[in-house]
Amino acid sequence: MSLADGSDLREGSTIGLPRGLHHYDLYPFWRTFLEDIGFRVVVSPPTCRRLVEQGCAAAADEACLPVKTFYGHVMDLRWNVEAVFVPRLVSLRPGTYTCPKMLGLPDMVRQNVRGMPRVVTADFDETRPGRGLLEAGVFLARRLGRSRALAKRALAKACGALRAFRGSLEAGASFDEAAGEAIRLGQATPRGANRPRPAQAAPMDPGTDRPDLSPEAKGCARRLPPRNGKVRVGVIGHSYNIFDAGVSLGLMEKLSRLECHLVTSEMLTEEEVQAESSRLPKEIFWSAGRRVLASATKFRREGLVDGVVHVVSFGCGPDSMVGEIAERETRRYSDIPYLAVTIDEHTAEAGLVTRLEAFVDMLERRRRRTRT
Amino acid sequence: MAADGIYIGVDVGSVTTKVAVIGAEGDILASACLDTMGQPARQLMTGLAEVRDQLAAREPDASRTPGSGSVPVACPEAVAVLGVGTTGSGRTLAAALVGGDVVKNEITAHAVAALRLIPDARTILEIGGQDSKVILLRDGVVVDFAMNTVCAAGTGSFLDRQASRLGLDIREFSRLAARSTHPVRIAGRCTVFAETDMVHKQQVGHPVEDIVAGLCRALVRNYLNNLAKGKDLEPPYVFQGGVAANAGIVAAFEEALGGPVFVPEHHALMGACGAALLAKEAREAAEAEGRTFTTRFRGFGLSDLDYRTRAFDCRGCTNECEIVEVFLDGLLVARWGGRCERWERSTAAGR
Repeated sequence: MSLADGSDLREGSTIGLPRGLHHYDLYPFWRTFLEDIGFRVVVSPPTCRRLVEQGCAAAADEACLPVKTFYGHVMDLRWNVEAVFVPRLVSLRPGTYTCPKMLGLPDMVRQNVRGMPRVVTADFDETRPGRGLLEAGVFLARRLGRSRALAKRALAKACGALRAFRGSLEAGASFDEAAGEAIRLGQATPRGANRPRPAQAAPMDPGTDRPDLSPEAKGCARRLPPRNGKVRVGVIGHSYNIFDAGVSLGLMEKLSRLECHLVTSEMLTEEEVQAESSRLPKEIFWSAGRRVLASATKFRREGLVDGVVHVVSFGCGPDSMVGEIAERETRRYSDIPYLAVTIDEHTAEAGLVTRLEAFVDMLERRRRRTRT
Repeated sequence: MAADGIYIGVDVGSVTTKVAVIGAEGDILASACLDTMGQPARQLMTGLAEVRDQLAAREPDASRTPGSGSVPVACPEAVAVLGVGTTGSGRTLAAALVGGDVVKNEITAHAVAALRLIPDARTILEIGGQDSKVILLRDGVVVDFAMNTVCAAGTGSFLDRQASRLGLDIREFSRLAARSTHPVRIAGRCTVFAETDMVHKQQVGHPVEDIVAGLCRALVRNYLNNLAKGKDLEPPYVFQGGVAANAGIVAAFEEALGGPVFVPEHHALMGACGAALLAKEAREAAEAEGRTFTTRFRGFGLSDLDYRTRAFDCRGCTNECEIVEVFLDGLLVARWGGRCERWERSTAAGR
């Protein structure tokens, strides 16, 4: 029996999903899928200090904080589930790759965490034909001893959940809102039903009645609520950094408490990301960096935000370049202030608070000045 | 003198605690600067008592309160405190104890204070006891800033330590640096290596003044390479914070930047002055809107009160946040430290 094999798992067995990394991109998909093919799904609790600490103790030194935290989640799950599902994300788009830590994630977890139950994995590699997300689903179902037909039906439902999830994120919902809604949608559909209800996307589209927008403004700009005198901050970074309050030290919440509107890089649709990426002389090599840079470019070109906060994990290889390009271009072609916040397990909360407060203060004072 | 009332600014830093009192025109009336010595609350009380005495000494009206005779009154009741601002890493504690109306970060406070003195300032260099910042201003507003992130290299604490290692008083250190003719080159990337380098230079036999001047240059180089990396530093330059007292550092900055660097007379008090100015701004803004502004200031008598700080780990969820509580004469005046709002109880408005 190979380590990845789970064909002996009975219907109703529990499979653990660690709440980290790709969780913030694909959770509604995998949860809906696994439940529909007959498994019980357990998700690790939200990131807290204890999880971070145990993850840091087990992970390789050079890993970034979100990877270390992922270990913590896996460790939390290991005694309570019959298998942990850790997909191998190789590429989310032809011509791009994820970072080496993501590529090796299932293997690293197997090797470094003691007392691991089975680690079930499935490759997701858009650079190769027949290795996309749907094929990964079929592969996973087969590994778990489920039929191809069952998998196909579950996939239709999972894709519906994923579309609903993306739609809500693009409309500005928080991760929890978007994921919760998408999963409820999946669960409301009877098991094995072929056609999920169409995704309820973008409920916040204010339509055309927006005197503050130019008629040409479309896409992201239209989905944003009006400023109402508040400053608008663009938060860019990998989804697992901006959405995981335990990793980012509550950066999003801290900014909200400072009374500013937030726009995240997750609010861009794939078409918008593609449109911005194609403006570059050469496309970004990294799957996640592509969206980060595209959102920085869009925010700058369309003047959508008063300032940009880039959340970076300390030691992130891809971001060391993507962040640099985003920062330089923002400074060179606009007067939008740019703050890079680097996070690791030693980051002091007080220092972060001071920086964010000073940043928002600066934006507010500038705004007041330009108005008078 | 201060007939129109005064504003108090408090800057509780890691190394020093500063209190500044400004008049309605923004001029400094009284000030105190003390070593924090790990006891910010105690030192804050002492600082407050000091400015009270200074105010009483310069207020002829206050000392002539009936019944007090020739003895100066302990509390200048005749002076109306119109607002209190706090800043620095201990700003929350300070606001809780003193009764702060405005709690602001150091960047904003420093910028506001510098702009009052030099309205066309474009670059503020600020080096304090344990942190350093660079603030870029254009047309009187902050447009960019940076704070040291990973280490305290090149801050006041490091200079203090190196001065004492050379057996010098920090004032003497400053004078010696100015005398150097051939500053040695010292690696400034990391303070540990800088120290190794200094030991080596001493053993080679370089005179102390050249080593000291070399150290100043290394510190400035480190500051410019780390904090100001990729930023356009444009004159006029203003240099504030405690380290601005060091002539060697000022000279090194002028050399590296190729232009004069202005050091305000009260360079160490700039944060506190900025906090006071921000309190003044808040009051004026409220009055302009027709709102009444009542200060939360607890009064100068505060220094005689008993205070206590206590911390506990919240067990409400797995985050186990450390919650800090401050009591004044047995009364809970502030509580903070949680990620959620469960324990939040702030005595201060705004930030």
